[in-house]
Amino acid sequence: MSKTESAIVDFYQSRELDEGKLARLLKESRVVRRKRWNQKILSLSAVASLLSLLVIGGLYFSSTKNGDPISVVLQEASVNHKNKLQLDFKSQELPTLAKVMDKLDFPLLLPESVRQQFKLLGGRYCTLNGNLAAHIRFNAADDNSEVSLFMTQSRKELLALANQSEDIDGVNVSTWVADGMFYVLAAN
Amino acid sequence: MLEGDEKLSERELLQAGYRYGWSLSSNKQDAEDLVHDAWIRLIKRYDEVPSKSLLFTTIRNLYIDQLRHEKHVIKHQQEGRFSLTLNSEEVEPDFIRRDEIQFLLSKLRDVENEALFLSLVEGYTAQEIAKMTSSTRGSVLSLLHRSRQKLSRWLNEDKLQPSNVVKLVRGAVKE
Repeated sequence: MSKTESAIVDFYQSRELDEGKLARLLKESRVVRRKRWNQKILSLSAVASLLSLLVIGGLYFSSTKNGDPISVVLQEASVNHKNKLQLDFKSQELPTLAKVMDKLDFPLLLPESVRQQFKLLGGRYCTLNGNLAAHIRFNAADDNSEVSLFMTQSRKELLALANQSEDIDGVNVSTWVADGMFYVLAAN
Repeated sequence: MLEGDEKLSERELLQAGYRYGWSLSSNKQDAEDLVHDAWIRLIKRYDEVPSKSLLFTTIRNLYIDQLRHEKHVIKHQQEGRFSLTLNSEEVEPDFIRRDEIQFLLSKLRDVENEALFLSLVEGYTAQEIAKMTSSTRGSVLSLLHRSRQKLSRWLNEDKLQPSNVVKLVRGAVKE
């Protein structure tokens, strides 16, 4: 290394940040680091809160959409109607059907409007919201399409589910309560 | 990170950054500002300064962004300061030598000064300097050669006297 080069090295090596500035800068670094971590934690908390909200929202949505009693009842009726399960008892006479479906804990009485509009085909046992129910199948007088009527004793928890109407997978499902009975009518 | 980047303490990194800032700006205040701003920028981004080469690159970028347009004014002010100091015949020889080197380095182009610093003080190879400065090895070698030539022309080591330095400062010796 020449004298000039040595002088250059010596010059630069003599340049030093003084101790006070160095200490201040290192202190500032610690403050910046702390702020950075606080921001990181804040961001992570925000993300965690957002995820929690999404999960809670999702759970709430799924419980209100699929898990609430009315959805379950309407879904049950729709599925039972669409599947056209084999009738346990075939009869076009209501008294005969009522006589053979003797396991029911309610009298098999059909609403006047149903009797007038539809032609009886038969019935089978089923459940509605966990209660023993009758699934009575009819033919519509006008277009011969099948119609299902589900009926069970009206209970306290079922009263809240009355007077609902919804299209479930292409099946129009309606509920009502009359004469102590809870009815669900399903038709395409 | 370059091959020669050994693990340094924060204090060592800061001092190296400060010197590098000096090589670019030829000015104490600007060198302090450069190393401060670059350091804080890297801490904000990485939580620590990952390597000396990254610190240098950040300082360089800041320098290009913030200081280049002020360079002329800074150098002009420095010349005035040197003239006042070196007019005294009573100054110590060693002090004169450093001051003279400082003045001569400030007369070099930024890139020449930077290349000399990185090569002589930091020990980077021409290839490494080229990588750090987005240049080519050939350009760096040429810069180093030219800056050495200039310095040896300006600095007649055998005849170095305070009075000559004063002449240098006053612009009596031209490139």
